[in-house]
Amino acid sequence: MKKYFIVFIACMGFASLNAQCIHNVVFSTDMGVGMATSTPEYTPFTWRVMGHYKATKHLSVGVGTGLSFYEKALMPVFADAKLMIGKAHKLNPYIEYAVGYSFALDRNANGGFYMNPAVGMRYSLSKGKALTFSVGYEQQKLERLKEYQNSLYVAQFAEKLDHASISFKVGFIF
Amino acid sequence: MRKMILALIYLSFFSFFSCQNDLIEYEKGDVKVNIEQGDEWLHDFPLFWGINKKNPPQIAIWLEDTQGHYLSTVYATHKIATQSWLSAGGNRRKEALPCWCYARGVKYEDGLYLPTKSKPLTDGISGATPRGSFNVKLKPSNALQKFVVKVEINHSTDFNEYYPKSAKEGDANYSGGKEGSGQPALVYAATIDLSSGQKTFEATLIGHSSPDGTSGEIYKDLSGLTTALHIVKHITVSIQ
Repeated sequence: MKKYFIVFIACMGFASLNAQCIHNVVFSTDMGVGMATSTPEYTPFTWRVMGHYKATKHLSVGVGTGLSFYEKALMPVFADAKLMIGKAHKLNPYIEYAVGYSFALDRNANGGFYMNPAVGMRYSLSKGKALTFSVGYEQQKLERLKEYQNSLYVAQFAEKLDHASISFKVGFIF
Repeated sequence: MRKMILALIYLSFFSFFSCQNDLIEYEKGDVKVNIEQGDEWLHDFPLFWGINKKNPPQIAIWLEDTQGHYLSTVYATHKIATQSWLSAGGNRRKEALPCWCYARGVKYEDGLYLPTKSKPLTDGISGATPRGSFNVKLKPSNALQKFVVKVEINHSTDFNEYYPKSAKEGDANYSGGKEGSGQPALVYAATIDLSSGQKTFEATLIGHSSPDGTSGEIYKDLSGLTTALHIVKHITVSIQ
């Protein structure tokens, strides 16, 4: 009951955001890859979509989701804050911090903590639209089932993975 | 488009309320090999400028018959299985888990009994080094009734006064140099008889491995070992 209540409150929050503040909300999407810095290493591919509320001229906060492909496909759900640095120009640097949790789409896996601080550049196009390029550090925990079979036994264990990578992302704000 | 994105975000937040799966489910007759971490499970591994990283130990679990013949590897940690050592200075670390390597008996191109990067261990039996207590499930076939579970465990750079960094190659306490083991690997064993009706078998420490990794011999004298004795607290094999 408590869970449904929280979901209801969250939906009401989103709905009211949609109704009242939509003019202050910007959407963005990005995709990227990573250069693994941990072992076992894995080169991830990620696609994210985010909605940000412009809290001040420079700071926007929001939520996002998407897909991450590690050993298993994951769906991250995260909070994201973006701080634009300096006055608005054609090209603006920014810093961004995303933190949340990723859910595994495979029943033989569990997701885990997700974090992606990054620095980037925003290149303004026409009104309200822009391209972004960012470099950051991505951490993604997950757990997966591993199995081995021979004539004597079937062995199973849960492998806990803690992936770290340098992330490179290209995005579009609209 | 914006409504679609909002709907996607709504839906993804609903997934917050989904549960984590129990990846391993035990059934009657399954064998659980449980390694319970000790106080020294995480060990300071020097990186650079005095910065240390907390490293978990290397582990191999394998089965032998009651005559001491190797049957099969159940689990080995990723680094030794794929030779993905960090900051090992090119050392293949034959001193890491030599008892398992020699029991397995697979000799590679360079004359060592260690898997190589190009010929790693089968993916299904290797996993990221666990940072805490850990278990493996075995569903034995009818052919496997009486057997020995062996576990070998080792930290790198786990030097003490008996196994110092300064030991020279050829010395009895040489353990691979400055990127080597320090204290040698420990070997635990439990003899399992599935027909006995016994439900729990405690693995006992049967000795340490060759400090320099040049043989698969087990040495019963544990007098030079200090912190290595506390890497694991208990190793238990239980029948569900």
